[in-house]
Amino acid sequence: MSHKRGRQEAEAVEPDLPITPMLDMSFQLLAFFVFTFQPAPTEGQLAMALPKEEGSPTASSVPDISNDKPETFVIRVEATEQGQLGGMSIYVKDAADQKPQPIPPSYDGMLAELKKRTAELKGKPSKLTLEIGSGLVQESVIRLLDVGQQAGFTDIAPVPVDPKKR
Amino acid sequence: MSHGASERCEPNLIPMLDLVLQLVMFFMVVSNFVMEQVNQTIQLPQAVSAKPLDKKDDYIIFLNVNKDGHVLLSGLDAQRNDAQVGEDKDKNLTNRVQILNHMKRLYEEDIRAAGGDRSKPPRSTVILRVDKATPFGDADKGVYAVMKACRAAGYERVQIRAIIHSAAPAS
Repeated sequence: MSHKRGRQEAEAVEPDLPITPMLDMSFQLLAFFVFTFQPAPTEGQLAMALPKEEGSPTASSVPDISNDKPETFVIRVEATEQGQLGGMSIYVKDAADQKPQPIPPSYDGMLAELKKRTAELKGKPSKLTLEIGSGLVQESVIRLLDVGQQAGFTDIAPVPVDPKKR
Repeated sequence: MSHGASERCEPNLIPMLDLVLQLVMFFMVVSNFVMEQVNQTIQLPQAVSAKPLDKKDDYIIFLNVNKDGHVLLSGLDAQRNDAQVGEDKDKNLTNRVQILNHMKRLYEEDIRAAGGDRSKPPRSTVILRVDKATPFGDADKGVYAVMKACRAAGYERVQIRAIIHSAAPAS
């Protein structure tokens, strides 16, 4: 008689998985990741032309066989002791008169000068070389590259002012 | 009037648990996504003309450069550097010779992965993440030294990273 009652009790048991503690722990984990989540600012790239290197493995780029030799503008940028923008001057490479002409030492001044010069070229291809003082900080270098691209230059090469240190 | 046996009413928590776990997985994946490439210690400058990554550029090499002009290595690059050089516990490349050797190693791996054809340029694009306070420098140190090392190793496609800004900062 006791065996029959025991079997009935055994059949009545229903296993139950407690979900509530698991849900509680999941919320704890979620809260942790939500509070520690830091979205990164959108990053982009600025392309630039690297100086040619003697003896580097790859061959130089395909030579330009067009008759239009690009006009190369060179902007010389001096740096202050704090690494900020100092004096600026511009000249045209391979021109008869290569004496640097001072331009206003500001990014707006540089942009205006470059736009004026490219407008005078009337569609002729052009390049921009930035001769940069060694103390100038990257933030200013990026601004210079940025201004060059805003002025319409796609081939911009940053190099040190001193040719011996290139 | 007789009362029936009391019934327990419980909300179904399983779909809620399912959704919560989905959210947890999302935040776990997003927080770890490209963490090795995006070094948060590098404060990037801002640029209006900066363009997002081109989808054609499948193979990217990120170089993180700090204020001292040192290239910071992480993850697999750091382990490989330790194995090759046997030193540099700080996992930084501190002079142009180390940077050049590192870039030459990457170049050789690139060429090997592309079938060994040295007449073609390497498939990877090098992206420099340079701190905004790093001096431009010259051939021996600074940003220019890193650029020169990339070029000397054979990489022609080198780009500089900046935070995309909608309006130019005041001059």
